[in-house]
Amino acid sequence: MLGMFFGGLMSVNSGTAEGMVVVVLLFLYAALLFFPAWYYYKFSTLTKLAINTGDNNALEDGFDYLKRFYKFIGILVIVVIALYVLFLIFGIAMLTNMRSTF
Amino acid sequence: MESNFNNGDLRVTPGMETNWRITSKWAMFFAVLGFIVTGLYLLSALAIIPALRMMAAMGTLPEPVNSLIGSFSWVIVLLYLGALACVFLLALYHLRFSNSINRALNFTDQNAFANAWLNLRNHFRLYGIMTITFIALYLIMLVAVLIFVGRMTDTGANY
Repeated sequence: MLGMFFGGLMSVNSGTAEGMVVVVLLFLYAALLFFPAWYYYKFSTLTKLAINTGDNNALEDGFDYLKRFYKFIGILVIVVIALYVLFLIFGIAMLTNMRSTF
Repeated sequence: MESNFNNGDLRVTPGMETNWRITSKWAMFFAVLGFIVTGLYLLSALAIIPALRMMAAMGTLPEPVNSLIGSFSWVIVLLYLGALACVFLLALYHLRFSNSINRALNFTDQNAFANAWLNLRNHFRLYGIMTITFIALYLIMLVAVLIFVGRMTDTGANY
């Protein structure tokens, strides 16, 4: 993460278009890491608050954040699997293409 | 833990029920995915373990790694199977959580409700222990690499 950060800063300093792409990817990556952690944190604190004070609204919000966490990670996993399949198809297509040109 | 929590204050609301149902669906998804991953890793273990032994026997790997794998291949196998068992258990806890919370909501079964949260707790506990173990392993590897590099530069200075 830190390496990506400094790498991104360096490529921005070089002033190329690739630098901006790296920075955008970096922020995307940071968001992907931040949201699950934030949902987990909210679930933990709200549920603890509900148990300690008997606050039903906090309990409901806590479970809502647990649901959001699962939904976020679930969709992320589906997207990653889809990307794998896409790259696999892309790779096989490239390989067959290379073989046919030789 | 202080237990000043009042049973009468906390109730199950319709919003919670829908949240639990959606959570249980995703937990089931992760459970199925976990079982598939376990199966795939088991299959790859069948290929990797003989390959490692063969490479060690032929001496194709660089020297410290080669003799380490040669004499400690059973340690690698045990570590691999241990990690595999952890992945399997994580999926199993998710499966039980998903099934129990659904049974609890459909038949207002208090035992199933308690069982569901017990399994989610077990899942989080195992996940936490695994995370701590991995962080500790990273630190150990970092220290080992630093010591190794330090020795290399020490001997290098003698030339």
